[in-house]
Amino acid sequence: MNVDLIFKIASIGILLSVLHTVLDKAGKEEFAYITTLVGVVIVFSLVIGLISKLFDNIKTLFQLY
Amino acid sequence: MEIISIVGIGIVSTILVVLLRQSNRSEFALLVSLATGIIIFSMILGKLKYVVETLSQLIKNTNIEFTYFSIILKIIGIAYIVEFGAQISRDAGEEAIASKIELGGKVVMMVLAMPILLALMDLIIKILP
Amino acid sequence: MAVIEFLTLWIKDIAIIFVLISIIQIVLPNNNMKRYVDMIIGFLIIIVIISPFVNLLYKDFNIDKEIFKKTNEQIKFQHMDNLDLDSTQEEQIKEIYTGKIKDEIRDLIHENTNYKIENVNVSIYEDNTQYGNIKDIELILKEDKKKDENKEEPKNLITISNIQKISIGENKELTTALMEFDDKEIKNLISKNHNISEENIRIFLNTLGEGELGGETYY
Repeated sequence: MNVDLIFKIASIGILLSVLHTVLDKAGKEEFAYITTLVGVVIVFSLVIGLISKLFDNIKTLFQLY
Repeated sequence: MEIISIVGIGIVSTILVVLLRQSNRSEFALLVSLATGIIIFSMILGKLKYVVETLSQLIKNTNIEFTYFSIILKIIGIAYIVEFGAQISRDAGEEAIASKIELGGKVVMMVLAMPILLALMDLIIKILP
Repeated sequence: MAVIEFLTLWIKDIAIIFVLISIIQIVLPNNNMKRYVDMIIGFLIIIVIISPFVNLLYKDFNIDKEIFKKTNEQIKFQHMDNLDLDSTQEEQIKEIYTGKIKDEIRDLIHENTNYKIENVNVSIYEDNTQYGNIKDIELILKEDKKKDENKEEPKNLITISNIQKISIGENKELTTALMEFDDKEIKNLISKNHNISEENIRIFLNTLGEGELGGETYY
């Protein structure tokens, strides 16, 4: 819930892109796409938790329930 | 000073996003910008709460009924959320989704504001002879 | 002087409203939604400026109540489609409730007397003050063949034939060979348990044995 998250996500992204290129060049393209998908799902789940917390806070603040 | 950390986070994540977009991983770029937006917003939320509470105390001192203020507050909240979502879609190039989100926000705000409008009409009609 | 006081309050209201608007306009994100928020704040200004005058003319005009009423109408309008669901739900709840009462009566009679219940009909009050209270109960009993000894002879025997039963559900079955049975014990039992006066309990005894022709059987 602070700056570390951004760095985590960015580093996962860079890692994944490197992996994707490597797997591409090694000839296994489908595997590359699957790995990318898995990475996106993981990062997404992290971010979704954050979004829901944010929206809860906004709901409480503005009495939006 | 929190403003320095906000600006710092903003600059750093912009650079990261550019980097990610270049390596053809634009979904991660989007996620990074989304996460940054959320983090900055959460930092601000505390101060916003202070502003809202001050305003509501101010309102309590006058004759204005509290329902108005709460409706306006809700509408402002909706504006924030809608802008957040719509801008993220626009960044990703999905203008259509963004405008639909905005449309949804406009409709919900209208619906919330209808009672005020109707009450105002009643008021005016009562005044007219 | 009342006029001065009135004026002071009014001007104070307006001043605070304008401060409020300035703050909101700074804090609000300026995007495509800005115009709507501006419009609504405009309504608020009009209302605040005009409402003291209306209060003068029509003492007791409470705009808060009006807004609340309109909000309620709005919510009802939006949920109009769900009204059908509500009424079927209500029917179901009623059926479950009467079913439970019937089962209770069945068990009660089975345990405490020699008779077996063939059918029970319970009707409940449906007006708002007494919703749920039992209006009357009709029991159709049969002698229980397990117990050998005969209990006391039924006292009042009135032979009734071809009665049309009044029941909640849709089944209107002709009953034959029923005798009105006036057992004080059973009535006492039921009335104590379910808080209903004895006059509203009617008990019929079906004198046909199993397998005999000439009677209708119930479900």
